[in-house]
Amino acid sequence: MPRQKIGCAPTAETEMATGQASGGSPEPLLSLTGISKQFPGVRALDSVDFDLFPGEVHALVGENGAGKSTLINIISGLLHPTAGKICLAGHEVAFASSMQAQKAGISTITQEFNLVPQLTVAENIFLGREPTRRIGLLDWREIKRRASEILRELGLNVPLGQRVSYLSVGDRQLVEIAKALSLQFRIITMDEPTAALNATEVARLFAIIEKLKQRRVAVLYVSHRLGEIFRIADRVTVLRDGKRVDTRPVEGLTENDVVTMMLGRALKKEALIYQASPAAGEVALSIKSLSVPGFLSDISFDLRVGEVMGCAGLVGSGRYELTRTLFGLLRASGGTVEINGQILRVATPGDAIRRGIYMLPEERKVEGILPDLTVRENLLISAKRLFHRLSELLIDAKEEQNQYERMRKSLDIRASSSSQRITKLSGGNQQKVMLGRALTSESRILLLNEPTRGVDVGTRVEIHAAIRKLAEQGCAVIVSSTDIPELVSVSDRCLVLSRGRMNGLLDRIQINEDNITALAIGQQITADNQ
Amino acid sequence: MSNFRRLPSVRTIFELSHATRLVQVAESLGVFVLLVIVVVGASILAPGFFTYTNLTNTLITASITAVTGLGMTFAIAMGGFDLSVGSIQVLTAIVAAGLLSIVDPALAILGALLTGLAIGLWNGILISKLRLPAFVVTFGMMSVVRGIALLVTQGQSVMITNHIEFGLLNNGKIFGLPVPFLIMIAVFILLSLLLKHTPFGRHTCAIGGNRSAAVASGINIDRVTISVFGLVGVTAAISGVMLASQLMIVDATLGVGFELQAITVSVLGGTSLSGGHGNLVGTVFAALLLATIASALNILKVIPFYQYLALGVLLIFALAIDTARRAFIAKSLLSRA
Repeated sequence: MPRQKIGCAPTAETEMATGQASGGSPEPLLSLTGISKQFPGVRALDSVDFDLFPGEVHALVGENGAGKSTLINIISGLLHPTAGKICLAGHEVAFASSMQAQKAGISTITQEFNLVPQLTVAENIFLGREPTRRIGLLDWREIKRRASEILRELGLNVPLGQRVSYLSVGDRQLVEIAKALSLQFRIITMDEPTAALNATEVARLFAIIEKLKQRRVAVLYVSHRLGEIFRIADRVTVLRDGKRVDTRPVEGLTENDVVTMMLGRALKKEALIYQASPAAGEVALSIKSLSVPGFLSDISFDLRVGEVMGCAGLVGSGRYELTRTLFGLLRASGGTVEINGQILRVATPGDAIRRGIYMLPEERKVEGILPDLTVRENLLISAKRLFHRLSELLIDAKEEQNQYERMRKSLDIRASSSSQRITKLSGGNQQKVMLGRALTSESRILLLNEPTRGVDVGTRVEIHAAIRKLAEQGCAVIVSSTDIPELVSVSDRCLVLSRGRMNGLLDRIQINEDNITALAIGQQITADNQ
Repeated sequence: MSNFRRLPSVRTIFELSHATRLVQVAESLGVFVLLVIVVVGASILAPGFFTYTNLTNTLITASITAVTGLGMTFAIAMGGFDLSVGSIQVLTAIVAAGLLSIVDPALAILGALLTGLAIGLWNGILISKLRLPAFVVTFGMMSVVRGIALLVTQGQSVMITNHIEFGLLNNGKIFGLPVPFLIMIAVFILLSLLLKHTPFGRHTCAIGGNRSAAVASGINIDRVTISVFGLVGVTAAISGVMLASQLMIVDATLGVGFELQAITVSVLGGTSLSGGHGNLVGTVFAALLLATIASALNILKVIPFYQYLALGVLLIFALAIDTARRAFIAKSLLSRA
């Protein structure tokens, strides 16, 4: 044992960081030294050092493919490093499975929750470790008492008997955190925890992270949203191409510094600046008093050729349902949708695509990727012209490859080959494939839901540029997003929904974060805000 | 310059063959290796196995199972399966046998195939339009169709006597290869084309892999579902015709447990019950494996009841392998995200 102790002793550098970050405790709770991970053909991590002190929030950032997920998977026991050493509280460890990592006190909260949707909140929190009475029956009183105690501490106001499937994404995440707390974890890693949350839920999550810090829990925080890192993190580690660029205290850093470290160069300025599109053309889609029972009532607006219309709204505002209705996934009870002056009736997405409407789904994993198909097949699943000249039945392999190559170049999709499985691509590249799918459907009306969810800064800018270019080329685009800065940067006009109604349709000059947020929470904007 | 960059590097080709091809090859290779071992084992242990007559018979039995197994692979790739194939096989065999006494063999065969198609399409319509699980619909239809077969024959056997041409479907040989084997190869080639080179095949796998995403991609789920079950019905009918020509006397009690065989060869061949992809080569090898085992057990005078036992064990074995394989792939895929 003593030898291990020596091997895991903190270096001078980390000791300095300790003083700044956690004020006192000299020893890192978790320290990784020289971690490398080799996959066939790819070196995902190249001798990375990383440490985590009790009571600190340590952010991990990097572009897609930089190695963040690999590092998290190694810490949570899902992957084994090819080289390097992991020390937990001064002792060298090697996790054979995620179960072992959990037993050692490491909890991982990812975008895919480990909750059973059919069970209640309380049942989920104690799943697998239910307090029982002497003869083996569930001790419901104890379950309720302990669960409500944890929930109270988290400020989560849901009935304990509520089924998890009825909860919002934000609430589910808190249940997941409650579960981690009930297990007395010492380290909680959070992978893109705010990706699906609205502003209120994000604020609540951050308050909880503060509480976790007070309880000396170490938080490893991964996010593409740099603003968040400056709000809650103590230190930040930047990865690029599998290597650690640097670990620095957040204090004294600027967002630009971090972006420069991530990209290895400064971000091009002009990419972020909105360029006014030429005057929008004729009406592409005219929506008149559209209603969907329980979700939307009396929605009316015209979408014009060449414009990007943002669509904002909190969970439950009907934002999610609006694009789904236009795409034939939900049935409207009243109102009309006109396309080129004709009334549009769509019963299925197939109908919508035939009429030139395509929707990018909000959740890539749920409604987007076809996991068993290749990148090429995924890209071209909705393509219009793919057929062999001789027959409508056979796919023309050459035409297919040509279309794939064209899309790959114009969207800069990074895949090792067209017949690679889509699941092997990074999130950002998968999202580009989804966007390519919308383009190859040759639709002129694009409904893009969360176009940059789970995508790194660089790709985000590329996707935004692609959306602007589509509008210039004559598409009519709706961008529906929870990411308000995104709406501000791409929209010509912005529709804001609140409780199923249109609470505003902002013009370009009125679009800013404050106005969108105000309208989304149901307020009216005042004259001086405009 | 740009042309040069477009060329795939040696490493990409290696990765491609490494990642996708190798996995696919390994999947069908697994059952192929097993087949070779069993054939060699049977040749040594069961005298009389490695004779021309017995090999021909084994090939014929394997071909009958393989044809339906190939259709079943589509249903499984789509995330479902069809339990009514045994009943369809027997009903279509009876239809063929009955029609042979009235019309030309060609018309009789056509009649049988149309019967299979009709039942298959009906399965598909019930599944897609009434939104019922494939399990429930095909389980029910398994009983309904067998009931029809019993009613039509009044429980009697139907003899095929006056048609030598029809018997050629079973006994005939081209280049020394039995006709049933050639029929199976033809079905195999056609279905491979359908699975890999048509939108229909791709949509089948898309539905099995992620149904919601398939809907959102504009795929007409109902149409694909109905077509797939229609296809399974036709392949079961082809097996029915082949069975009739093999036995030349049919009754409504044939084909019991045939659905289990068809599902087993498909899964054993590497098609995962979770859907998303189909391995047709593997299905053919697995059908050969199953027929070889049955033939060897026959020669060794093992009571035929043990064959049921062997079949069940093989199915569970195949499922266990499949689960382990998926767990392995899932783990190795967790790499990058």
